[in-house]
Amino acid sequence: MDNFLSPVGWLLALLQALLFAAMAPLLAAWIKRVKCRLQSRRGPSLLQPYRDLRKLYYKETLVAETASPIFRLAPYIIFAATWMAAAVIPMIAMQLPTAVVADVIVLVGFLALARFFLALAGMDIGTAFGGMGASREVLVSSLAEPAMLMAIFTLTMSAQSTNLSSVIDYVLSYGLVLRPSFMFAMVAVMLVAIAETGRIPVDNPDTHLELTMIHEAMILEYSGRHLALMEGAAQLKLMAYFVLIANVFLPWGIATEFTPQALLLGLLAIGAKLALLGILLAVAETALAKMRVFRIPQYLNLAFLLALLGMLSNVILEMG
Amino acid sequence: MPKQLIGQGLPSLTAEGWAWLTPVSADVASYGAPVVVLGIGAAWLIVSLLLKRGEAGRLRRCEAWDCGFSAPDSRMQYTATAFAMPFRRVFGLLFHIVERVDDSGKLARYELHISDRLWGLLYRPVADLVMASARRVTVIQSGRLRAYLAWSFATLLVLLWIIS
Repeated sequence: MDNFLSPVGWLLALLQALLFAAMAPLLAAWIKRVKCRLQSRRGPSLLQPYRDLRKLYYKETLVAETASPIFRLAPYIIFAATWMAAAVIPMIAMQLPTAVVADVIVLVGFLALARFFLALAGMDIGTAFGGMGASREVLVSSLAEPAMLMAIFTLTMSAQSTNLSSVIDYVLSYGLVLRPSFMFAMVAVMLVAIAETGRIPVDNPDTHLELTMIHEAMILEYSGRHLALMEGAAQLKLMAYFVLIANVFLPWGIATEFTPQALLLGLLAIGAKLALLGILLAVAETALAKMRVFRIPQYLNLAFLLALLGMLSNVILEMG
Repeated sequence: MPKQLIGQGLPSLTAEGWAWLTPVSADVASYGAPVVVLGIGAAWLIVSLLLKRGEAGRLRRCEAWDCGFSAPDSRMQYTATAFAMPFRRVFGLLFHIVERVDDSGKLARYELHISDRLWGLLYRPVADLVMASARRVTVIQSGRLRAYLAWSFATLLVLLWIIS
């Protein structure tokens, strides 16, 4: 609680939140570029998502005649909630005041809030696409969220804290030991992250073929600055999951004190970790094909099972 | 509430002041709702100020996307039944679902009946047992005052016999 009032901490937290928003499009571009390289294509420049967002910003915003105010409010709520979720996660430094404001359960809550409004916005116009997308999104998240929470409970049972800073502190203090529970939880969170951020094999972010899409179906009616917010929120969400995986399970390199050297090292470390995770995702997306919608429950059940195994191995092997 | 349930309250729920929710201790778990609301509000304000400047703030109403076919009407909307369809398939094991389409007549008929399997397996037997025993008990409630007096008298006698 004492670091809640430190001005340096708040400044860093603010900087970190801005850095999050600034780097999220870069991460999306990096994944796309690696994926293109793997498929022997040249791929767009790393600045392409920034150009796309700029283009959308200057375009006229179209809103359907049947839209209610929810449709126009939703992009702002979704972006703000996703941004808050990202701001809570320690990226380059620990012991920031944001970790005290909201713990990991609140983090899941932020993402749920964003998803609720996303589903509402999808249904708002009244076209069948949006309804279908919303229905599928809610299905996926209703199966993904238990797995996510189970994996988080495994972590918090070991660390005896739901504060992300304390969890990272706990992992750091134990050094590099192979914990079966953490391995299971990490794979479970990775599977959930793929499902939640709408990547292959659950959803395909590049397609606009209506029968295969979930996320794109919901935001089909958005244009201009609203679409820019939605795209930005999706990129932020991907980044948030990546940073969560990188820093909670492999936190080495994160700044434990607020010195310039430590912060620089933290920045370099998270950059390297994100680049590696991006390559991993690109390889997975190239190797796998998109699943049928009704195979997704099996996939997410696997994630839940792994999280449950993590919890069990924590209770059996590590407690006492 | 925890005090009523388990006899002891959460010791430090609001130990850090009304703005904080710290069930165990501040290092373990904390939630500052006012700060969270403030944060979301600030993010909202920043974003909307950035986006609604001058020329970029234009907004125009238009028709919804209809794939170039006829304009969408209320018959084409996604209904609650359609919305819940994936859930019916995924959680079908837990429910007894009868879904059939009868298109033999002039108009096609769509029927959907959903009932809870657990209700039949778990709750229904208990409910039936309670109802059956209640029905048995009503036999002694004849509605005549004399009968009730007799029952009371008999009960009193039995109780006295037990005490002595």
